[in-house]
Amino acid sequence: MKSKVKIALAGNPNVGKTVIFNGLTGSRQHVGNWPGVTVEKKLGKYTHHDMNIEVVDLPGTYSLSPYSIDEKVARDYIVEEKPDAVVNIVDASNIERNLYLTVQLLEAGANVVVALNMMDEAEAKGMKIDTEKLSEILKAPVVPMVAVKGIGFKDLKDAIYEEVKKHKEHRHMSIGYGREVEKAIVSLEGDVGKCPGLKKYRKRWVAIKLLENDKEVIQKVRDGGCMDIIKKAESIREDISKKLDDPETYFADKRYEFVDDILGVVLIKGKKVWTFSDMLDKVLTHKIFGIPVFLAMMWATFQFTFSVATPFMDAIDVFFGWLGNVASSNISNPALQSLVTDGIIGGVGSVLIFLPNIFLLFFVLSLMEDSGYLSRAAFVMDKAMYKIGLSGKSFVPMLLGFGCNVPAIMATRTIEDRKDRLITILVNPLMSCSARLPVYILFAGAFFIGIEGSVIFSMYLLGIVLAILMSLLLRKLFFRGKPSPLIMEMPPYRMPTVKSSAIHMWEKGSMFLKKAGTIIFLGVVIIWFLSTYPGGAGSDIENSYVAMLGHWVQPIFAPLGWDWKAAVALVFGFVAKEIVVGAYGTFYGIGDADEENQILRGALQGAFTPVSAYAYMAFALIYVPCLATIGVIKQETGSWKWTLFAVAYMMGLAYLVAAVITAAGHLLGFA
Amino acid sequence: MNGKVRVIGVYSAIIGIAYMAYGLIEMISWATGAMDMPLSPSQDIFAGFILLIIGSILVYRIKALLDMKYEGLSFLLVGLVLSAIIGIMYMLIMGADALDAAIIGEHWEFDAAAYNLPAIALFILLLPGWLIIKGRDEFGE
Repeated sequence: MKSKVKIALAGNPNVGKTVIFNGLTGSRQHVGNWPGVTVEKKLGKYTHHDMNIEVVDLPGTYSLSPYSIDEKVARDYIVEEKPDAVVNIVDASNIERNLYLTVQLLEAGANVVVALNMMDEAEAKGMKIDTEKLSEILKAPVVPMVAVKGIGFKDLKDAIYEEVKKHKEHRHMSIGYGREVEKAIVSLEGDVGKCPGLKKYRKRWVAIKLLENDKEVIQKVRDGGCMDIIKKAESIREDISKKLDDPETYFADKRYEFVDDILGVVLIKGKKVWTFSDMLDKVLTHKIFGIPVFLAMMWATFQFTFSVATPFMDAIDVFFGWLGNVASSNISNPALQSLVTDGIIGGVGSVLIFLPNIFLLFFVLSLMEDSGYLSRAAFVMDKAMYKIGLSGKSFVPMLLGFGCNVPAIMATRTIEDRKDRLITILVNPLMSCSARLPVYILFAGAFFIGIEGSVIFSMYLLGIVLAILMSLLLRKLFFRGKPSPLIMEMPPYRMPTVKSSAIHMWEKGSMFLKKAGTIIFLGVVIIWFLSTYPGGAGSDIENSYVAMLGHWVQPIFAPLGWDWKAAVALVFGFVAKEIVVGAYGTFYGIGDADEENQILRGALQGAFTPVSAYAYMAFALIYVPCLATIGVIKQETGSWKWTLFAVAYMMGLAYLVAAVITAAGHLLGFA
Repeated sequence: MNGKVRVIGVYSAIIGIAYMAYGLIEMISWATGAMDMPLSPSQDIFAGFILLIIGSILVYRIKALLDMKYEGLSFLLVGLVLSAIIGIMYMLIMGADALDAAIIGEHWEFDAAAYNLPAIALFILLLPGWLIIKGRDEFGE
């Protein structure tokens, strides 16, 4: 019988944790959330010799001090769940900063295996690391790796296996904190040992955390009913403050000193050589070229996404055309036939056609993220944003908004300043999420043949410009003061692997598939019902409920040149943007057509001009992205006032921008 | 190496100037409409802007490159990478269109403007520039 063990992967952000997680577990993984928080929890499994090993991928953190949700999640798992081993992934080319977390893991009593990743980059920098010596000092196995090239996985699996088998519970690597502080730690350790509620924790770790004034640990001691220890720790802390330094700073300094001492023994630094990362950064973060290159990359992304997806779109189109024909020739009941062909196949099919675009977009964004370029994009944009009074910290959640606004708004939790956070939440929906892409592709393909990629890119650009302008306006009107500065790490560039990017693409793109099977399906069935009745199947859509609703709403949009179908599609798009396209598919009843995409485009050409189509795309970009986004704005702001404000300003801005485009188009003589 | 750097450096700068010129033509053609040229531009302002940026990067620190400085090599490297991204992207678009024609049963024809032939040609012409990167250890601060 095979034994079951649990291991955790811990490390700083951008050290190759995901690559190692994927390398260890392959396809045997699933994603969930940590209890009580919206931090992603990845679990995977693999078997090695006689051991079934469950792998938990902890969030990337720089330390185990619980300042952020990610750090709290990682620390709680290590000290509470006590996995059989913690694989600490260390970036060898950045070993000094990474070892700080290693030291904290060992202090917490974790059974650590160090995966010394990116050895090739360290060597490229001229660094030589004595891994045996390092292992001796840390009293933990150290495995050199180049995970992206698949180097070191066998050794890592063996090291984990051996470490779990040996199960060295009491590792005695300890940092010396100076005679006086050590005396205090030992004294507190004795008290902690007597407190029944603290038996599961390493005594020395609890003592150090009490002296660091760690609120979470203090609460644990309080819950254990050992108030005396808290009082004693408080008095020692005051003493340290008077004689030495702020205790928190003191302990951090001592850990860094310890890391320096280790490196003095195990690391030989070579002469400064320019790595490829250094050379690329010279231009990609350049004050003149940084932003233009970022724009070039985004343009290429959308050009690629639109054009290369075409054959796959047409293949899906042909499939749905065939499916529609099969359905209509096999279903005799007119109402059911209409529901299946016009409603379900026409509606859901017209949305699913855009699946290749969405997958390709996520694939390219994953390539950019995995290569390390997106960090540079955040950096170059931060400079520009800070100059006009915006927080650079907002840019990372804004970039996430290109995928989906819901997690992007949740990601604003990393912004400590409330004003900066509120501004970011309020403008985030202006970043064009993947749900808007089907609308752009449909209209660009119908009206801007030959320059579709650039027209789609212009929508994304418009979103960015509006987000910047709105941030500026909100800062001036409601949130006066200076934005907080952005401090971020630039990971070295890495050659992205197709496998890792494909996994990222699937994780994000499959959300679209789930949506198509649930909310979009439900939406198009409702739209089919409203556009078929009261007359019944085959009746004129002009006499349907949806036409009544459309004629009622249409006067609002009449100055923009849109008909009632356009108006009503926007109303349903409130639930999810893809439904705008699904609604058109249902209105034109194209489920049994062989080339439904072409027919839909032809129908649109009869209802819009290029100017009114462009204005419609802009409106679809700006007005509220979906119900889920409204929900998350309420959840994250904790205020109905700001939620309603967000909905109102986006509606107003959408109308204003669409009106300006229409007026400018007419003034310039475009039809 | 120095002589080789000089030759390839000057050659890359010439290609850079060609990129800039064609980028400008693309941008002007967007504003003025179709141009009567052997290689008619696609009239895509963004495509023009990107070509202009690639050309500028290739030319911007040419002196530093000829002086065997890393900074010059950095600009050449990024120019080469961007040129490859754009060139390969247009080739993929061409392949995708050919595949699409096969799927829907239409006849496919090569369209120099749609596939931005000059961008593909300049990418191919710039390929010798990669030869310098191999000898990067000989560069200095």
